[in-house]
Amino acid sequence: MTEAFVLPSVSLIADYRKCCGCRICEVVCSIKHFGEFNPELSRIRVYDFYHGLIQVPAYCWGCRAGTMEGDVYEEAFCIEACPEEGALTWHPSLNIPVLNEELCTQCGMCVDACRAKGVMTNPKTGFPLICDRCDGDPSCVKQCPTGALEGCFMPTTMERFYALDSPEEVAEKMKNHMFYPWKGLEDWRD
Amino acid sequence: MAYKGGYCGKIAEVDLTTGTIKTIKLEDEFARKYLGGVGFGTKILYDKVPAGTDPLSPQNIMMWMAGPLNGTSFHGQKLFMIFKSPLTGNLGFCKHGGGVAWELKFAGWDGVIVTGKSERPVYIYINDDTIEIKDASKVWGKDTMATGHLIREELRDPHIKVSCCGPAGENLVRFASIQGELGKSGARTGAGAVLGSKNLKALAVRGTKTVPLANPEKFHEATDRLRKMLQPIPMMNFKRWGTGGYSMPVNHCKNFQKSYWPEVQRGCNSEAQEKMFWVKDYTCMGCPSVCFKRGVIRQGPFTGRVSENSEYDTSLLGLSCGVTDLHGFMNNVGLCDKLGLDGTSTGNVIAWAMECYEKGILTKDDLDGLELTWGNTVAMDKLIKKIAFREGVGDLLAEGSKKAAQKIGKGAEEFTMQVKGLEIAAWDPRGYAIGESIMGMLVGTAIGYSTASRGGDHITDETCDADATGICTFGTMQIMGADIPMETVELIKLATGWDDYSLEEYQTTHERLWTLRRLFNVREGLGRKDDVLPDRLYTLPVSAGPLKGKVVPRDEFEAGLDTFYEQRGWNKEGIPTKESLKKLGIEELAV
Repeated sequence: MTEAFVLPSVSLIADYRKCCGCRICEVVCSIKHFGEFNPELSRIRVYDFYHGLIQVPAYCWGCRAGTMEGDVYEEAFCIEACPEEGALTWHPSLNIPVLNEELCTQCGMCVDACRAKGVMTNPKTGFPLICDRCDGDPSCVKQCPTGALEGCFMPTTMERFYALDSPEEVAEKMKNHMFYPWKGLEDWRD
Repeated sequence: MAYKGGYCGKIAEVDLTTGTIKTIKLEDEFARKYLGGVGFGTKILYDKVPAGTDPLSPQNIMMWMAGPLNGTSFHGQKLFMIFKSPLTGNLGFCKHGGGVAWELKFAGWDGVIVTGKSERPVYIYINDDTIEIKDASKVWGKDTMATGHLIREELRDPHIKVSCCGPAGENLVRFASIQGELGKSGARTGAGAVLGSKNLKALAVRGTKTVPLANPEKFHEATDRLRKMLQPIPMMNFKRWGTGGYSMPVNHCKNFQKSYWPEVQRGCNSEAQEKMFWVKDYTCMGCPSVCFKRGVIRQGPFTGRVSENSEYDTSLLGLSCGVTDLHGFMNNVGLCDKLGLDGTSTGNVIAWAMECYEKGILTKDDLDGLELTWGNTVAMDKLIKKIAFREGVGDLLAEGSKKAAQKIGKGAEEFTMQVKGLEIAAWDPRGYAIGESIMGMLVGTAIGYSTASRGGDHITDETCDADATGICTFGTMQIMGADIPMETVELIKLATGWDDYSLEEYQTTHERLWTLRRLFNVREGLGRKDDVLPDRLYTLPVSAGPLKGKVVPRDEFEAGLDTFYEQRGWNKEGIPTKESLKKLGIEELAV
């Protein structure tokens, strides 16, 4: 039997409205990459706001995606912040930053620089953890129960748009848009 | 053989009076005998809380307990709270979903035992191995949603999970709940009041460790397979409607007086909620079944308030109170969550108060000027707040329908829908089943309500198993074509490394836990005389629909009770016999 041909996913899109906060993506990610289940080892984290009201998945959007060979766009935030030349480089076809562990000094600048909070720290080794798109076939997409995560085979300009938002900013927008008219916490008080 | 995984191996004991924190090692024998969750909790409660203890005194203890399958990749994670119930005076336990079960195990704890009473409001913060008792003056008086939010802001960690009580718990409302997240209620039997009596606002947990497993590869393979086997049950599609899908055929209204009231059912069922109200899905950790929804009210006097879907049992706030206004109904469901009240009991108590008002037992003056007519959601909104803050008539109703009826007298006791003090859930034992097996099912539900260890609630064999392992019955019942007890045994084996663990041992454990719950209640003086249903279910026939005219037949009910006791190994009075205790290996606990 021939295996079905799968176009490699070069970007991962999250529909925040659909995310139900089940964190199966964290389960699948950490098991696939480390063989154990621990959300700290996952390359995608679901942030929760207002005690379970709003959930925002945070991961590497690939904020430099959409640029062409030879374009003079600015670098991805993490690569720009990295003080070591060559420790983080852009993967041109998968649209993700790739880590060279030999050059990385574990300074944590990339973790702070990422505006989407898509760079985590591996608590065991201290190296940054960045989504590797499972080499073009993301496991989290396959098990997402609501279809909030989607893999795309074309880089879109959405990444550049979304990657500028931190989970907090997304939550701020969601509460104003989805939960309109938002009355704030303790809305039952007269 | 000692366990190699599944358990973290230690339980924390926090004494709020002195502020000391002890670590108890989890022995293998204890773990294997009581399995976890409510199993651990019942045994510890049985040992530590003697008969006759006042549930709201510092001598009562509050426990959060996790099971061997918590903190793993298995879907449907629940955390269990065990205590002596302020509502019934018997064994009290409840569970809630949300992330606290995961985080507690990640932090390396199988459970937390809280004893004593703090002088000032505090909350417990667990960060991996360190446990701190922190000042809660900033969140005291806040609702559950704000408490969770503010504690996370104060500790500056968005991944902290919080299990807290609301204003109702602080004010010792006897059916106050604990909320894991908005709508994740550990609702029944009044856990919130126990928290409030200890001046304890919340448990905040953050863990970063991996839960050890004896055979991680095979375990992850098995959980992955089971998660993929999860299919929505066609009739009650959880993924679309949550447990509220069940409440569409629920047929009792007006405090179990009427049946089949199309306006109410059309106005408040899940289909209407889906169309008018829901904006977002929500679920428990690791579970693809998406039972929970989030919504915001966009019409009427409550515009702008956020709420969640009505689950099966919170439908009592709508159907039983005769509510036809969806937006008011949704507001009241959300209000109970935010204030930390049990929606099931609150619905029942208000329905009872409405009937009192209809019959003239409670007048407008008694109710502080509220016109508590059937379906008046604005009055209900005010009354729920009164109950939570124990203001005016709320102080009376906050005692639960049994105690409140005793205070009022005038025949109000006759229509309290409660068993052992706990208001019954939304199942109607008179008319639950339709079809050939009608008598079997009919009496079955009645026996379930009357003998359930915590009072009028649907405690079944499946929930007893799930309460020990730490899983959710709704998550497992949707795994189509799987033998759930067998799969659970297999998962426990893979997690703990007990190679000789068998289905027989699992079933014996189940019997042991069931009997242990009974023993606790027997020690408190309960027996066959308390295993009765509310009078209305024996006497008032179903008013309409295919089950028109049905009641619970008393003689068949008594015969069923005999059979039930016999099969459990209890005597005619419902007390576990010496022989059966010996068979279960707990003869030293005989009362």
